[in-house]
Formats: sequence, C-alpha cells, structure tokens
Amino acid sequence: MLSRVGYALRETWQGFQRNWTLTAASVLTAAVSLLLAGVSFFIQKAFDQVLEQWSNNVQFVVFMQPDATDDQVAAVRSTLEDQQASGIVREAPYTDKTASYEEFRRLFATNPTVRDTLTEEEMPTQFKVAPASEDSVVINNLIGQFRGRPGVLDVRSPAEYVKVISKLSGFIRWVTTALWIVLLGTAVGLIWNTIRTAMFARRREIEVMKLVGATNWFIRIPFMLEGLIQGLIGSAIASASLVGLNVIWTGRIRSVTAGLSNVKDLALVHFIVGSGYVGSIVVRLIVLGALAGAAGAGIAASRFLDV
Amino acid sequence: MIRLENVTKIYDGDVTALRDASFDIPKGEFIFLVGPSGSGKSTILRLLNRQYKPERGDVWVAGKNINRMREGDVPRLRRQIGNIFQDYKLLLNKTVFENVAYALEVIGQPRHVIRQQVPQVLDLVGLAGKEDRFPNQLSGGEQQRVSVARAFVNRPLILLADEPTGNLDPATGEGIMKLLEAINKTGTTIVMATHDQVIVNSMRKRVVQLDRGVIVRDQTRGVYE
Repeated sequence: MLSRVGYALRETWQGFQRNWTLTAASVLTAAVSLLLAGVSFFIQKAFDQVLEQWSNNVQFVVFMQPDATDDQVAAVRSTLEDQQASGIVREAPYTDKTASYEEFRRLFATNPTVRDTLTEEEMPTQFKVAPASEDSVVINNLIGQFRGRPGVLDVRSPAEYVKVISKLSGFIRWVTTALWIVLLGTAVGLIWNTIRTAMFARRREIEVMKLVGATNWFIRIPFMLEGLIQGLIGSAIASASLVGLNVIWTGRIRSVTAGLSNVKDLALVHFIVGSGYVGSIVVRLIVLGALAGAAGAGIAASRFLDV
Repeated sequence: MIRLENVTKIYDGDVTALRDASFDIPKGEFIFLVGPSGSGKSTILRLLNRQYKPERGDVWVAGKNINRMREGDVPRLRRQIGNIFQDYKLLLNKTVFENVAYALEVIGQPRHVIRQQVPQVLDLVGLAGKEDRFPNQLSGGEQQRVSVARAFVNRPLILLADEPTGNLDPATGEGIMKLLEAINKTGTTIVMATHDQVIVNSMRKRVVQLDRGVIVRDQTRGVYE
C-alpha cells in the first residue's frame, strides 16, 4: 500500500517537471478564473450587506422648509407621534438646523464647493422616519400624507436608490458569474489538454503497464492527482490574491471613513466584507479548484487510456 | 491452459484477420505460430492477452472464458501472462533494473519482493552486473533479455512472444531461444509467433501454420514448411 502511494506521488511530481509550461498555463488559468469567482462572491456579499442595511432601515426623510413656522413643524411632529403610537412608524427623530447643517458639511467635507453653498440659516430641518412596515405600498401611502403639507419642502425616500443599487448589483453579479464560469471551463479544458498530452507522451509506458497487468486506476491516479493538484495550486493562488485584495479594500474604506463620526450610518462601511466570510469564499475556491482539476484530469484519464 | 473455439476476428468490419480458428494448448507446451505477415499470428497473441476481443468464438485462458470477462478482471488475467515483442518495448528512461522492477511495481508488489526477485531473474537471463545500464547502452540481444526478464519476473503461467528474434542476428536469436526453452522447462506455456525457419526447424516443437487468417496446419514436433 505504501509503495503504491509512493509510486503515485513520485509519478505525479515527475509529471509536473516533464510538462511545466502547460502545467503553468493550466494553473494560471485556474487561478484567474477562481480569483474572479472569489471577487464575484465578494462583490455579491458587499452589495447584499449594503442593501440589507438599507432595507432594514427603510426610511424616508421629511424635509421642512427652512422658513417653516414652529406650528407647522409641530403639526408634522404630532402626526408622526400619532403614527408611532399606533405602530405604523417605529421612530421619527427630528434633526434641527444646527445638526442638519453639521451633517451636510460632514457629508460634503471633501467637496468645499457644495459644502459652502448653504448657510446654517438656509438648511432645511428634517424628520428621519423609519416606518414599521417594509411594504412599499404602505410606505408610499405614508409619504403621500406628508408631501404637500404646509411647511413641508419635500419627502425623499431611498427606495429609488435601493432599486438602482440592486439593479446594478444584479448586473455585476450576472457578468462576473458568467465570466468566472467561462474561465473555469477554460481551465478545465486546459487541464484536460495538459493531462492528455502527458498521457500521450507516456503512451509507451502506459502500454507496458497495461500489458503487465496494472489496473486502470493504478495508471490513472497519478494523472488525476496531477490535474487535482493543478486545480488546487490555482485555488491557492486565487485565495491568496483575494485575501490580499480584501486587506487593501478594507484599508481603503477605513481610511476614507476614518474622519467621519457616524461611521455606522455610512453605506461605504457596509462594503467591508468580514474576514470570516472571506474564509468561506476561500473554502469555496479550494473546492471549485479541486473539482475543476479532477474533472479535467478525470475526463482525460478515462478517455485516453487506450493508447 | 489455452483454448480457441471457432474464433473469428474481423478488423474495421471487413478485414478478416482470423477465421474460425480452433486449437488447444496444454499447460507447459511450447508452440510456434508460423505464416507470412498478415496471416493472423499477432492477432492470436492479442486475443490471448485480451488486447482484442473476437467477433465470434470463445477464447479460454487458464480456465476462464476471457471474452466474457469483466474489464476489471483483465489486469488479473494479464498478470498471468508475460509478453515479449520484436521491438522489446523497454522504457528508455529507466535502467535495466527499473524496467524489470516496473512490472512488479505497477501490480503493487512490495519493495522487498522487488529487491529479491529482480536480481534473481536478471541473473537467470544472463544480465547480472548490468542492472544500472540503460537500454540504449545494451545490444539488441541484451535488450531482448531485459524484456524476457520483465515478462518472466512475475512467474507467469503463459509467455506470449511476438517475433522475439525478428530484430536479432541468428546467433543472438539462438541465445534468446535457449532462454525461452529454459523458461518453458519451469512449466511456463510459451506461444511464439515467428518467421524464423531456422529456429522452428531446429527446435522441433508443435507448429501451427496460418495463411490469411486460416489455420492450415497443426503439427506436433513440426517444421516451418
């Protein structure tokens, strides 16, 4: 048994040495396709997190006119309080001129042209309303109750942005998934070709092996192992690259958001994918790489044994 | 040991390589298959180690109908059969020792068996001391001896030899025949396809003659023609 394992490993290693250019091509294609698969999973997760954050907290903002009277503000507030009491609205904190102005300046901190267009006096105050329901009909109905009321400047809902983002994420998901599947198919094809070439180069040996009574599996296993390892090396390269990219990505986001106080509310932060999830992507990549390698080599090894 | 019952082998649907061939080879016999090129000698050898399956008839080897054998059992059949070829079929990147050891290695024999058996058989074929040579460093006769050693190291029941002296000068060929005779004396059945009249005539073994796929003569202690 030990001698068989030793034999298989020795043959596999020799296969790599014999055929390193083709092997490198297979491994790199596998690595690129798997990296793309990883990035695709990664982007999906990031978008999912952002969308989840937003839809968990679907809110609309009732902007009051800068010159709204105290009575007008009080009327809107009392409506909202009634709705809170009846459970339609979860919360509706009011942001006064000073706070709104600070938030505005913070959001446009990097864009002084916009930042300096408004003074504190000109700032609309706002109620940030978090409805209890996520149903868009209910929410639109609520929005309708505030739009056009005296003193109300406008009612804005992020629903439309959510729609755009989820459309965008769907598109990116589709494109990246299609790309990595095609590339992984290419990798399987290249591994298949590498193994086929290796078997053809050794057809004499295979003929002798068959004639002295080696089983097909005995002949196949080193070749299949070779393909499997090509796939695994590909997934190792892809995993390392993905982990590296994640470190850079996370670092960038943190440095951009570092100066901002209410970091939690910023959508950008939700684009950070936790290292635990990256770990689970790595596991998926390894499995995919192993499957691709085994598939390519397996097809080659079962088809080309009759040399 | 070997029995062909009305065996017909057709290649590519229209070339009949063997037609309705029948014969019996008892254990320990030495038999020559003679006839011109394309008469069906090699076809019979390939039917015996199940490189081919016949279109009609049955091939029995060591008590088993090998046409009905499952693919998975073929390796076990082949471990009972040694093969020798005109072109030796040695692996050029392996030494003499490795070439012979290979036959044991690929059927999963443990290392201590290999270390014991290979020198023994190399000694038997007269290659002691040349274990570390590569095939290219050997004469044709020596290469054929390596091939005989590889075929015999597993102590097969049957040895199939396809023109084993075809590439050798007469004196060297005679040496190989002496070796095969010695192996035959250990009880191994030998089936040898050959063109070599001198060898067949001098050995006086059973001769099966083929002509265009038909057995035209089956003679004990026969001669070539």
